[in-house]
Amino acid sequence: MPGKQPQLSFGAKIKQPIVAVLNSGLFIIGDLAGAPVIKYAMAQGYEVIEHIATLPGAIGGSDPEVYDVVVIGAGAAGLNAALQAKERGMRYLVLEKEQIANTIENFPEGKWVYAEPDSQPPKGKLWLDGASKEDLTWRWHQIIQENQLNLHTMEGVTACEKKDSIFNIKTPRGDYRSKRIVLATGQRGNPRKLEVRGEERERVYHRLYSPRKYKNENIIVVGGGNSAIEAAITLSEQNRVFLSYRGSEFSRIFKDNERKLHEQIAAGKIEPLLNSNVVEFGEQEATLKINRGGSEETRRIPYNHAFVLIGADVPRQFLKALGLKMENEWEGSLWRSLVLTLVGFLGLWIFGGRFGGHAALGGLDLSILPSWIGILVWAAGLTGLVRFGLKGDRFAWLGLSFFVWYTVYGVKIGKGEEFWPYRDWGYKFLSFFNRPWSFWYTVLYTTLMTVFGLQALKRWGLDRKDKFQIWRYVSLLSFQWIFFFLVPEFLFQYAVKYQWVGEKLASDPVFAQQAWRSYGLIYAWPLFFYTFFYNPHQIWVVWGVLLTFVIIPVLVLFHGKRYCSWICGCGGLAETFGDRWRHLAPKGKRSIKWEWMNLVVLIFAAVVTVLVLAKDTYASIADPADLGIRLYRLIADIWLVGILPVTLYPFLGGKVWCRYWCPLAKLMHLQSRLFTKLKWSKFKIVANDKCIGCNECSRNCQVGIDVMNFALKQDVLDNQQTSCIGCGICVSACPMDVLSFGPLVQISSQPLSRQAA
Amino acid sequence: MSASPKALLTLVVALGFLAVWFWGPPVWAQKTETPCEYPVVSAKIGEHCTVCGVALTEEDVALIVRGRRVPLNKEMVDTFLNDQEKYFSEKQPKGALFQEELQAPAGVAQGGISRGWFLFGLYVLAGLIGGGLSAYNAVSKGLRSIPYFFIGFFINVLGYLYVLTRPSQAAEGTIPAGLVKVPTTQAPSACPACGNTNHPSARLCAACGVTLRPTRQSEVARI
Ligand SMILES: Cc1cc2nc3c(=O)[nH]c(=O)nc-3n(C[C@H](O)[C@H](O)[C@H](O)COP(=O)(O)OP(=O)(O)OC[C@H]3O[C@@H](n4cnc5c(N)ncnc54)[C@H](O)[C@@H]3O)c2cc1C
Ligand code: SF4
Ligand code: SF4
Ligand SMILES: [Zn+2]
Ligand SMILES: [Zn+2]
Repeated sequence: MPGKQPQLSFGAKIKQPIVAVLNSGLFIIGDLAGAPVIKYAMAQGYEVIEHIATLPGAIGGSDPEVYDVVVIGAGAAGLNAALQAKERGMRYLVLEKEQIANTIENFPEGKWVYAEPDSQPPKGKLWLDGASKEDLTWRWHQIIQENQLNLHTMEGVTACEKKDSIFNIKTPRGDYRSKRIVLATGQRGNPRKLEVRGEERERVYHRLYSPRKYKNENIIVVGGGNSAIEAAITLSEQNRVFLSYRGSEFSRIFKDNERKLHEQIAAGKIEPLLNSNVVEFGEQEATLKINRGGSEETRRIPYNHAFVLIGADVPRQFLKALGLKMENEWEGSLWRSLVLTLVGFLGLWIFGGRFGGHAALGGLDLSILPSWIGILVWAAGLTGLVRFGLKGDRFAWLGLSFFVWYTVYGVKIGKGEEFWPYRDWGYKFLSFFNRPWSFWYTVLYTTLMTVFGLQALKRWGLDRKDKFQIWRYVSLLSFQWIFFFLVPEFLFQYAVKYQWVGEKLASDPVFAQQAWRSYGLIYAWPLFFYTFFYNPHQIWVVWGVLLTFVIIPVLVLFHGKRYCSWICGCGGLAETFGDRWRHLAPKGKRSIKWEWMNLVVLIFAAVVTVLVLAKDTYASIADPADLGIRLYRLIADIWLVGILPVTLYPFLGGKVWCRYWCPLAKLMHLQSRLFTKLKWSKFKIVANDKCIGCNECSRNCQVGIDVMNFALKQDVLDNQQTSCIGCGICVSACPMDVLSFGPLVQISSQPLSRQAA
Repeated sequence: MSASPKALLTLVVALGFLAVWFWGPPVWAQKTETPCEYPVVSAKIGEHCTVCGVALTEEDVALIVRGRRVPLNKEMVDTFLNDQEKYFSEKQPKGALFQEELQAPAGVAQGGISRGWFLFGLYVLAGLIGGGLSAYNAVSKGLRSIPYFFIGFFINVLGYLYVLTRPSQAAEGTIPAGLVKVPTTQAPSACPACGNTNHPSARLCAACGVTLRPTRQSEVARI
């Protein structure tokens, strides 16, 4: 996708097949460009050269010192690109920091390399099939030799500069010049090493995969961070683990990990060795030096495997120097954007004077200013935002997004109640063609959902041939069209007019004149907060109680929180309009902690509801009840469900409301957690042992669940531990077919479809 | 359509505007100012005036507006009627999620639009379901999903019937139709003769050819 500045980040990648940086001649492929598996990486290596070959001046030139293309990194992507470049007769060179296929060489001994996904044949000259790691790399070495690839190992690129449309590439051993660069450095980073003797032994690993494979063995884990602690805990379930850390205590680890660690230590399954340093990994024994308050002790520990998990060095500097942007980095100025946004509103304030607004600043009546001044001020503010936004200021886009959605919702609250600066004129102004703004809002909502919903349907369902996602998106869109459009706009009227509901109901104004209550057909209290207020007809009260307290719990029992990902309109907008930003959802334990907020909203809703229902009996609570409704409306029903989350779509993904503030989501989560605990619930996601840690699942989970962490350990993911909504995106996104809903497939059991819900 | 979602969006919005412009009568414009047409009943002790909040007596009144009681001090009825939207909004859902319009004709939740829109909505709905069914079936048969989705979307039942009559076929490199993929749940196994690692479903060692006992079924199974 030339012309678009790619954004990179580790553990959260871009997803374009081949990324060219602003037409600069720098192309990014493979793992670094978001291809999670070897087959995709190979395909990109092949395609990038085919693409370059079509560009002007791709092959040959007057200066023999200048390469047509330099490939950086000799992994699956880089090697296939080089082979193709040779095939095309280009002057090329491969520069590799360590050894050929370094990432794969670092896999554990004998690891089976899967040639997933089966739906695609491998492309290019490199060989790929399911094989052991040793087999695979042996074949690759052969192919490299047969083709006599121009490849320098142990020569990492340290810097790159472009001058007069030629790249200058620097390595510790020399400089190279090239017309184009293919960057294929992967993004695993390089695991940090202890730099001690014997660390290169096969039984010493720098990453942990399939921990359940190890049984009744002596295992040394080195490190004091969360990943080391988690590895030690999981491994200690079936093995004896020594946990070596050079520090004097495990600080900065999660509470949960701390608790489990202490449990395992108490049970004698983990022996912690604080203040210790590994000196050597021997054939059978590792030698450690332990500092015991002044005196140093040397200890030999017999071991079968050792895991050195002390973090990774990520080449951020290198990539930034190439002009690449990291995903989710906030550049720009918050203050400037704030001011510009305010200027935009100010302009509209002045402008509104013409249409019934009252712009007055400290006794100064601004409405006397002609409205074109207002327009000018408004345009100045907004163009400023767009300009700085285009220059890479993310806060500017935030300001613009806020401007749009604050307007949409701040006006929608109603005529005469609009937020500043729209008070007394915004609603009328936005009621185009004599139809109320709320009507246009529905049109906007449904259009956004349908257009982007079809796109998401294509992305997850049609392109991936995933029946589960096809149905899910059809379901979301159909619910929207039926319950937000056909029923409230037409069917309810018809039901009254033609007395489909019976003569009695049809002629009862309490029922017939409250068409809006039909939203409550599928929107349950407390999401549909008004279920029990404002003179509901009894039939709605009965339905509301049934929906919230019977139907939804039964649904939760069988399907967890799938209401959020199959039915609900709020979740629907997030899954459709928000789909393109789903990878931006806040991740990590700290982001999960904040999920307590929707409990507060739930309690708030419950308290207000009780107050309102009781106020007719106890006159003394009438005032707090009214205040409660007013506050809930303003806080939950405008800011939390409208302005804030939709503004944040392009920055934190679409699920901010659903995850952090929706009281119904919390209610369902509490139920699902209980059902899971009681072992009634069947809802769960399980993993097989093929996970390669590519992070695609976690990256695409809009609820910010670290699915990979469950998959790597083959732990069961359910609603007791996560707030999963069962959207199945992680299952669909996994390139290795690791994840599935429902029970683990047993050996020699009946075959089970991956789509089994 | 992935090529230009923006163009598509613009098109849809533009069409929407056009359609409304030509198709439906602007409801608000038709409406004349409402005189007090609401049924009037007497207020109950304990109720408070919607406009000024004083406690009411049986002398006072309550209007039934849109099926809801609006208790009012007798003096305040005109004040209410002159600014119904403001005072009635206390008894209406108004927020980001749900909204009721007071001025739109009773029974209509929103703008009051013509029946053409109803048919349009039905068509989209049928299209979604038809498209979903067709694509689902096409995927099962190994056919291309995108064209079949749109065939189903636009001519729904007919499109679906058309997909049903198509023979199954396996696209290149995919799992043949009628088979499903079983996720592997086991690590590869080592050959007892030569130590080569093989797929757990292998019957022969890939390196030495010795017969193996598969520990699980092949990843591909018949449905
Ligand atoms: C444990 C594990 C198991 C996996 N299992 C599978 C599997 O079974 N099947 C599968 O399909 N995929 C698997 N993968 C994913 C697979 O390894 C990657 O998708 C693939 O290696 C990506 O290829 P690449 O060429 O883009 O990057 P890499 O293979 O990571 O290659 C990048 C190369 O660039 C070099 N390099 C880095 N920086 C520089 C620099 N500055 N200058 C020069 N050279 C540099 C590195 O040394 C490296 O050799 C697995 C990954 C892991 C970690
Ligand atoms: S864990 Fe998977 S199924 Fe659950 S919400 Fe996240 S992506 Fe969806
Ligand atoms: S489970 Fe997640 S991390 Fe593991 S291979 Fe699948 S997508 Fe990648
Ligand atoms: Zn009064
Ligand atoms: Zn063998």
